[in-house]
Amino acid sequence: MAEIVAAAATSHILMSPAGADQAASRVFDGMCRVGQHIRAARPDVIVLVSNDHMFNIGPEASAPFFVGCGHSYVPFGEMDIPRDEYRGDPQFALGLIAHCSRRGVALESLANLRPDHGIAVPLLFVNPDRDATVVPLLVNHSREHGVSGAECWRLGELLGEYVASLAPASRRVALVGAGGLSHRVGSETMGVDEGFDRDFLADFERGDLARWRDMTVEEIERVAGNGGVEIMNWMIVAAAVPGAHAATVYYEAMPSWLTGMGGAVLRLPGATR
Amino acid sequence: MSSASAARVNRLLARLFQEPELLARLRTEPERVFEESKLSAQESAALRDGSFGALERVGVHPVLRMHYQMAINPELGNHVTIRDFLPLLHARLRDG
Repeated sequence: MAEIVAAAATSHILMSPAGADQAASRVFDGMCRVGQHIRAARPDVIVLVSNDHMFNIGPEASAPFFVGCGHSYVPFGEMDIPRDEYRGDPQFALGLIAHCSRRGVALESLANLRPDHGIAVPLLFVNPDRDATVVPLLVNHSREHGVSGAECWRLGELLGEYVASLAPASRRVALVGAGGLSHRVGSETMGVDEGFDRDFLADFERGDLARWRDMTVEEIERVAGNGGVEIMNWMIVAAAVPGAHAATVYYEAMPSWLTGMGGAVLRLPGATR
Repeated sequence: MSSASAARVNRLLARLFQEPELLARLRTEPERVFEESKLSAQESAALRDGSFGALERVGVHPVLRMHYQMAINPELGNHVTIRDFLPLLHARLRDG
């Protein structure tokens, strides 16, 4: 079977450091350390769990999950993100769709994805040489009523199960959850809830995510904003690696970025790193 | 506001960064774009207003409110950008 060799989670945006240089520098340094953690495991394929910000998936899309099935990806390029090409992994992606379908979880394929910052910013750190193939796994938080924590958790379990079912044994897979933490998108009350973020990070470290999984989308949004639901991208990765222990790498409440910024690595059972 | 109407304004805003010509026209002749898109008077007024509250009241999706703000305020691109970090990242990777 293939092997999950590394897992991590991180916020997926950067903005101008103007006015918050030191905090921005700490965020950048944290993202570099998350990237180093993934790169050190020498993955062949990176599954990046994130969400699209309506650059690819429109407001009328109703599917809960999408998977990039392309042979290659060129970022959309908003936010001055370089449009460097990454190799896709359609065989892995289509296999994941089939595996989940057999177990009652529908994933919709995306053939012509142009990853926005949700995928492309983390890739700059975890796959800078573009030597690993990339499988974008997108949660459709933008659909009406969002996607529940229970659905995300189940997908994570199936993702872990799928990797374990793969041959050949030498295939090295890394998982990266990207998004969050608290933020409010398109709202007149935009802001960060540091208490929410630190509670989530503490439970993420403990591997005690039951209450987060059971919260409704509305409950998360009420406290952490409509962007706060991106913590589910982290939970998918956590569900895929049961028994892993997370360590927070960085956290900064970044008011000028309107986002609580955080990152963590997951130490896998039996791992020495 | 009917949901069909909200769908129309959302579809328009979802195209802004897909179609550079549309984005340019929105900036130079917004009224014609609103008219061609068959927006209601309330929707056109909300887009003229441009605030998150006005956009919310006519059913614009929160993510597309951000798109619209970026579209009508190009100077926001100087803040919502990763460009300051690219040379730092290249240096970090080069130095191991």
